[in-house]
Amino acid sequence: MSPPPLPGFGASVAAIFQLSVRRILRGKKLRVGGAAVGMVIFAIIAARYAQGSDDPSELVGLGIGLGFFDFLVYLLPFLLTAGAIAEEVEGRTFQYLASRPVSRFAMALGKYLAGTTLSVALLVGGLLLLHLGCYLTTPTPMIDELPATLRAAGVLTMLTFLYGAICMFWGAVATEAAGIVSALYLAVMELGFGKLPFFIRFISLNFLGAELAGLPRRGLLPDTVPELVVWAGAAAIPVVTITFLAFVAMVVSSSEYRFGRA
Amino acid sequence: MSDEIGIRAIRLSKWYGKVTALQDVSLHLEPGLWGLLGPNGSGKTTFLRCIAGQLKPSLGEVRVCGERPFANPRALRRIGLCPEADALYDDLTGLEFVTSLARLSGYDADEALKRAKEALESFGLEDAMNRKIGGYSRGMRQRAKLAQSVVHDPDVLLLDEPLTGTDPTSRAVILEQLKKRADEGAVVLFSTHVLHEIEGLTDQVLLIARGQVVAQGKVHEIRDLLEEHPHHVRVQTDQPRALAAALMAVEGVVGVSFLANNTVEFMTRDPDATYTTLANEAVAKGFSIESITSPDASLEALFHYLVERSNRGAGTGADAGSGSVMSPDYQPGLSPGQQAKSPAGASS
Repeated sequence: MSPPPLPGFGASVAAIFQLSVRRILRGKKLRVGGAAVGMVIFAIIAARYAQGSDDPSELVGLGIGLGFFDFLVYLLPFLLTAGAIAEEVEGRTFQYLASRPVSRFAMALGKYLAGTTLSVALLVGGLLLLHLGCYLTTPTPMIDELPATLRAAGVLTMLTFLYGAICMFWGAVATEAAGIVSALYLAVMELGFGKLPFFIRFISLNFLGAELAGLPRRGLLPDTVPELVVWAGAAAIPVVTITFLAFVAMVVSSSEYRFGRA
Repeated sequence: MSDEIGIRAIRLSKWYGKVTALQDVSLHLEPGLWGLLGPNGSGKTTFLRCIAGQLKPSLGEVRVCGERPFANPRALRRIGLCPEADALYDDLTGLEFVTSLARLSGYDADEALKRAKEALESFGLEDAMNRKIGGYSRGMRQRAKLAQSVVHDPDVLLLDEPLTGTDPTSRAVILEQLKKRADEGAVVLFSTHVLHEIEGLTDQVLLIARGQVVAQGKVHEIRDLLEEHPHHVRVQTDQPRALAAALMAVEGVVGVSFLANNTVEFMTRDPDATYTTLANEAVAKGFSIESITSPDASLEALFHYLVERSNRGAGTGADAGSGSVMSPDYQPGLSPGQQAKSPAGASS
């Protein structure tokens, strides 16, 4: 018997990615996420046509802020990445992966990319659908507002990768409470701080993202929040994302994940 | 890469908080089929997980084919693990499950698919491989777990209670595959707490109790250890004292004690003679026998006995043949057919 060749890092990530995507596509969480996206789109489009304005861009911007930046961009990465490691550990299937000759980080990265890719597909697809639906009867704004919609889609993509990394981190650290810890972190640090006055709001990367997308400021005393250099937000989000992924790498590489004790 | 095929534990200890799961285990397993026996909670699964690179030793070390296995791809590619838990990806088909894990073992898509089919067929799942695992019976699930553990032809195959929940047909298929792997030169180590599961498969066993390997050797020799210490026979009768007086005359009866409910317990080195006399006396003197039990007749009793011996630092001595009872310092090098060796300074 000769041992099989050691799989490369990229091949390992790709194999885990494929396995994870297949499982997500067959699971309930994607359907829950899809239903949430559908409801948000339906609500915004219904509000837009109930208003009946010829220039619905302000209402659409508000809908994107509330529906996508304050809700879906948290929900989807949370659904698809927070349990990526934790559920395997709790369900005792992690043993199959951990006994294979792939690095633990490749394993985590493959799962992270699967969850975030599908989240981005839902978010960006939903946003484009929203754009079409809201501007269906007004062709000129449909063209004029497209760059703003695409910019929002880009920012949502960045935030999805960020929140996916945050959820993966908490899922790897606190496997028995991955969902609650991830949800608390996002609710307090991102959603909560993102609505506070003054410079405290800068703690929230969601706020930085909304600024980057050019959305109107909301929350408590928005006028007290200092102006922000746009590139700062653009740089901060990927830096924090990479930092959390590095933490994930450290945690999964050193943890035993005991799967119950013998 | 080391060409050595084997498992070596050197003063391996593992604890969870204040609970000691493994204590100072030293051994060397060479290719062949090994049974890992022990009562529930004895440390078998922890031992297998340490070897499989899923747990880090608290003290000491374990090496698989010369490599430390924890999170080490070089060692892990040579290990196949079939865990005890009945946990699988129920939303995948058997073929998808095994193919995915074969890909993670380093094979490209085509090779992984080919190997997965072969592995599933070898465990009799050719007709079920395209069905979702969620619809499998317990025995089929067990075979799917086994198929993924051998899909990459591992040099070291670790199986945690592989026969749990299997019917006789599945059991025969599984046992045949394990023998085949061992014959091909792999180290096959499988755990069970049921002695008779091992007897038809291999005569090489490790006995583990309270986190220590307390015996290593051939099954019949370890079973013979039971003959070394007095058997306990409990008899519930209407005349316990009269029965005790009669049986004390039997050669081999070394003690008697009276328990509650008219029960008398004999300690005998000659159980056959004791049982014969017991029957004769009951007929001749008209004793009414309510029940006869032997608390020693279980593997558990053997473990307790061996652990006590081990704690006292005693071994079986020369009369034990290749079966051996180990003190904690014992560091044997043993392969099928070999005799246990005691390194200098260690007792066996």
